[in-house]
Amino acid sequence: MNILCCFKIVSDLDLVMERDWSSADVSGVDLSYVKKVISCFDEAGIETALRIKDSAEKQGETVHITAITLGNGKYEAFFKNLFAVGVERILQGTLSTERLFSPYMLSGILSELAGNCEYDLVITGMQSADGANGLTPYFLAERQGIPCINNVSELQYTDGKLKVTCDMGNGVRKATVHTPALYAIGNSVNPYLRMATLKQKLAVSKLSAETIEISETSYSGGRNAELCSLSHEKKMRHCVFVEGKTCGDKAAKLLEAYPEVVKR
Amino acid sequence: MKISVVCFSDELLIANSLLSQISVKQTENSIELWVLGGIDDTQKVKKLNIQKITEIIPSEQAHLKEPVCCADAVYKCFCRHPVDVIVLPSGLRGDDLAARLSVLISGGCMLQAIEFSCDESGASVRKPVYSGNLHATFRFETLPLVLSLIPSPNEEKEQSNDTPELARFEAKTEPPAWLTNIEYESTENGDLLKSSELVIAAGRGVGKAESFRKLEELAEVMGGVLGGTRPAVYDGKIPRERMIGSSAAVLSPKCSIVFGASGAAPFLAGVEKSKLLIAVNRDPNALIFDNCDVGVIADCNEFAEALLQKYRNG
Ligand SMILES: Cc1cc2nc3c(=O)[nH]c(=O)nc-3n(C[C@H](O)[C@H](O)[C@H](O)COP(=O)(O)OP(=O)(O)OC[C@H]3O[C@@H](n4cnc5c(N)ncnc54)[C@H](O)[C@@H]3O)c2cc1C
Repeated sequence: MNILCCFKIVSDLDLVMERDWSSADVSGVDLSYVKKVISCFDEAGIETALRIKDSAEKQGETVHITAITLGNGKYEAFFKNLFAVGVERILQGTLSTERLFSPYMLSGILSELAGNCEYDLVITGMQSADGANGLTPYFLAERQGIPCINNVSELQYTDGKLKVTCDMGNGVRKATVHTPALYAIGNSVNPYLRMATLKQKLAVSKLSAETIEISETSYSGGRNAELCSLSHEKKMRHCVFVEGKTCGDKAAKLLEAYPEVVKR
Repeated sequence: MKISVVCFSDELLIANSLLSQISVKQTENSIELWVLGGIDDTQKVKKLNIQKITEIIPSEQAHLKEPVCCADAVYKCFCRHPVDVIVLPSGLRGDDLAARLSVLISGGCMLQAIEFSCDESGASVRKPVYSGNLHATFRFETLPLVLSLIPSPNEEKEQSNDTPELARFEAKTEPPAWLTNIEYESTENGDLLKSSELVIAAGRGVGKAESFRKLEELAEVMGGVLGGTRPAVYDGKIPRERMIGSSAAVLSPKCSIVFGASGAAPFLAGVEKSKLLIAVNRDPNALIFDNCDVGVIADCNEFAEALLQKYRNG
């Protein structure tokens, strides 16, 4: 079985200072100083692929995982870690500029990269932390002519079959899937990527990602929207602190001053 | 400009919120409501601020649970009655349906928008980006467009006397052949969270599993429901369907009390529509204090215990 994972390296937005958000304008926001991470749902996607590999191999089936990413950064440390945990091949498509808000274009580029790989299933995250379009999986599946299954919380391989669990908003749906499909991982039951051991890292020290230059112009226009403004919103609330020497004092004051907390 | 608001029959009144969020700067326009599934409560229909409603009925009631069937049913309605813009309520179901529809109609798409306006030359959509830390405005010059709008708290209209015009569209739908052994399980837990007037939200700072249990007890005596931030859920302290935030439940209760959460934008998106927002954090500089009405600087577990004592002692 061949699994294709799509992932994106993003800034850890929890670490961005408030004042940096305030300086954002249509040209973007400077996040160059911020630590990079694999976008959270993509991280869960790669872990999902590794778990499928673990269980398929226990059932005597070989699994090859290829991962593709877009971006110009030097992500060797991430790539080494992915090789170490079990990804066999990584393709990095380079872009002339970051295309945060053009999911249709991104899906075209990813689709071109996917054309270099054989796969039985594609795994992506449901949404990136920065662009937050949430559309790339659907557009990529459309371009590849395969169904898109979104909000996947678990994907298991048993008896030669893929069983998928999805969050549906008002419940969950479990089903067996019989076709090559794209699985967009949401709030996964296995959200974190496993750690590589030193031995695993040493074993892949010579591996590196393949870089592919992509001509983006062929994917511009169409369903892409134009970004007109980017701004940080002013806070709407003003905090009043509850004073008191002990927690008991503060609790009493809170209940006294805000009866709506008590009455229900 | 023709606009259709689409919602599920089990959350009909959400349409009013969406309608109030649409701004049309055009002389000739029409807005109608498409309801997926039959409307069983005619009283609810009278509360809707709309003149024309079309019920979209798939081949089988069970198909309403299947995203592919829902998209197909709405698409068939669109083919018969084309519109320029389709608006859905944002949420796991609405976002998924919006994206699928945009693929089917080869239209533009924007998910999780907060504002939408249109004029003669196109449509503008505003939405949170960078995990909700910034807001972006986008312009679509070409239509059709499908978007999901995050509903603002619902202002229910007083019951009016004029009953809207009601039409019915029957769509032939088939479940996807590539899925078998389908089982649907409803998660009551999540619904409880969405309908509760008081929400206790627990963050990573709550710490040990037993402290989360204490908050569960507090939520119970206060008549509220316990939910949590993503780390609280990912660490297995809170059930997944109780997760709060932009990628989980977006709530608008009368009051939320947040314990031991930093106030990261994706989490705040889930509680910022609370009428009263109270935060308990031991760090006086925690971001959450910039975004709440009432702040308590304290160890959240000690404070929870103190609140619990007050309730126990009446
Ligand atoms: C695309 C994307 C989507 C996301 N969606 C969501 C989402 O839907 N929901 C969500 O919650 N997160 C979401 N996140 C994650 C989010 O960015 C934050 O990482 C998360 O909300 C932080 O959770 P937290 O506040 O519990 O933990 P932390 O940020 O670690 O904060 C813990 C807080 O507890 C305080 N604390 C510690 N100990 C105590 C104590 N004893 N007493 C009092 N206070 C204490 C600390 O001062 C700190 O402020 C998303 C992230 C991304 C990138």
